[in-house]
Amino acid sequence: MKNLIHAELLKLRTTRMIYGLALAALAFVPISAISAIAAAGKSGGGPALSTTEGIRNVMSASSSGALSVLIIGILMMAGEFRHNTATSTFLISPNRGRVVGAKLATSALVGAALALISSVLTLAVALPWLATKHIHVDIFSHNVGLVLLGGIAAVTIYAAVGVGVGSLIRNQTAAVVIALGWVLVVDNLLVSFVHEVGKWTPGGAAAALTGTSSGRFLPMWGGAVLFVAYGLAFAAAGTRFTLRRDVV
Amino acid sequence: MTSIQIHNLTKRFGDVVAVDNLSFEVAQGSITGFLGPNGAGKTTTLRMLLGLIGPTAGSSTIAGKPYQELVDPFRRVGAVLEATSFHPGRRARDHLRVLCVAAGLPVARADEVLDEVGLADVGDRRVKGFSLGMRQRLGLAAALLGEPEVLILDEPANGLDPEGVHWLRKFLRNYAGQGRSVLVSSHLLAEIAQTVDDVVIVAKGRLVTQSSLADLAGRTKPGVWVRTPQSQELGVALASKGITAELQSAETLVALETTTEAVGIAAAGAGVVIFEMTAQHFDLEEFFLDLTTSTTNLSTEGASQ
Repeated sequence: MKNLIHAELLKLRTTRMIYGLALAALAFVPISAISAIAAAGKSGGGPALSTTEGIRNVMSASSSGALSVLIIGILMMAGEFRHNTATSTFLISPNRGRVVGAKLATSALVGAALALISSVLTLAVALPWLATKHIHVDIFSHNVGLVLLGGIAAVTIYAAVGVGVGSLIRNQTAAVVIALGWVLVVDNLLVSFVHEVGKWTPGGAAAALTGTSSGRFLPMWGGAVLFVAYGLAFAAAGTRFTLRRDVV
Repeated sequence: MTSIQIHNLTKRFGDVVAVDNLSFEVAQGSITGFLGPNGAGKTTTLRMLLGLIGPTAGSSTIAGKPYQELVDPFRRVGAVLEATSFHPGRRARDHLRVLCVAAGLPVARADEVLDEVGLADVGDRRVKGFSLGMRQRLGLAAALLGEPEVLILDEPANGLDPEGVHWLRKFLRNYAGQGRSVLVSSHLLAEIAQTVDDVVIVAKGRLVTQSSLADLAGRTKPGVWVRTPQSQELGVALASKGITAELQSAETLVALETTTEAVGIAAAGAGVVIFEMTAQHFDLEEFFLDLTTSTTNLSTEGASQ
């Protein structure tokens, strides 16, 4: 298993695509932090910066790279079929469940690393700017720290959910299109208009983790458990039904 | 000693029977050619042998065990299955290093095998710039990483130039010479006829024959092709000497299982004029075509009944 995880990390490091996605994930962070601060308290923007809600809203910028990380996870698994590298991967490890396990672990590592950098970036943009507005933020306070931790957890799990989706849908293009379509359209609609359903969807679970609009979603821990369960369920179903299919 | 054993292997894809109750063996230290026309089930058989495709029925083993049960399979068996199984944006050396790490081999093996297949100079290039021949070599390099005792190659000569094919033959000879086994598939017998010890011929998913190449050659008998304005008279003269001849046209006939000397003597004795005479050598390719197409016809008849 250790070898397989090392190999997965090396796979990621040796293609340029992954750097592009990681860069995109990180680029979203300062952009959303800046727009959150700029729009705060204005009509159509988030809550005012003087409120706890307002600060939490700014801090949730740390999880804005989640979709790029989701795509990284999808490509890690579905890319193996797109480029036929699944053949040599499965020749080295005929136990396909172990391959998925290694990819889940690796994706979570990468997701967590990107999420940590995102948190630092968020603070680097937000703290000095807020200071100029004479708003002092204690990052170790219950509110800020929890949002950052929740964001790190959400991004980490997003990566693993991506691996799950990629193992369930072997066609890389289909996997990316379906996942993005679900998160950006279906999940958004459900979360916005059918709260009772929306809070149980993967996107609803992730949103609960970043904890920006409490009340509409599950409690944070509930979101974490549900989101992890989605990732593992996708991966397990993919391993059981899709990955066991013939590699022709 | 047997190194690969295929036992009553069958694979159905829906209504299509890709491999039909196929059995054969590969002896250790030999090169076995796995031959058949396109669509004969060669690739499906090799992928079942490697655990990539689940058989509908039957079993296959390498060194006595199913592939999935081998300890460190990458060090026991090397396989080249398709020419393009690389991430196009990854450098050749990195591709091999990834495999080394996954299989627990030292990454230095990557450079060693690049050298072995003649790609040492292009190891830093991304695979998308590689020609088909270079991809074949890179695939072979990957298969060699674990220094396996069994090498399985699916149509490895596809995309190789004549120099590359020559190199591949020499390489496989040398490899089997070290007591290791090679199973190599091809749809062109000529491509591997100079290299293999044994042949397994399949058509329509079924075994046509398994034998040594020498035995296969012994099954066809040479003849003599003759052009003469007196084909009828020559036929009679040959028959009187116990030589069977087949009239091909008014001016040509083929004397079976005989030599140019015997035909010449018979012709002189009968006063027959000969314009042209050629000894027919054993044509392995034609024989292969005969074998595989006759099986195809048989199965078509079987289906219509």
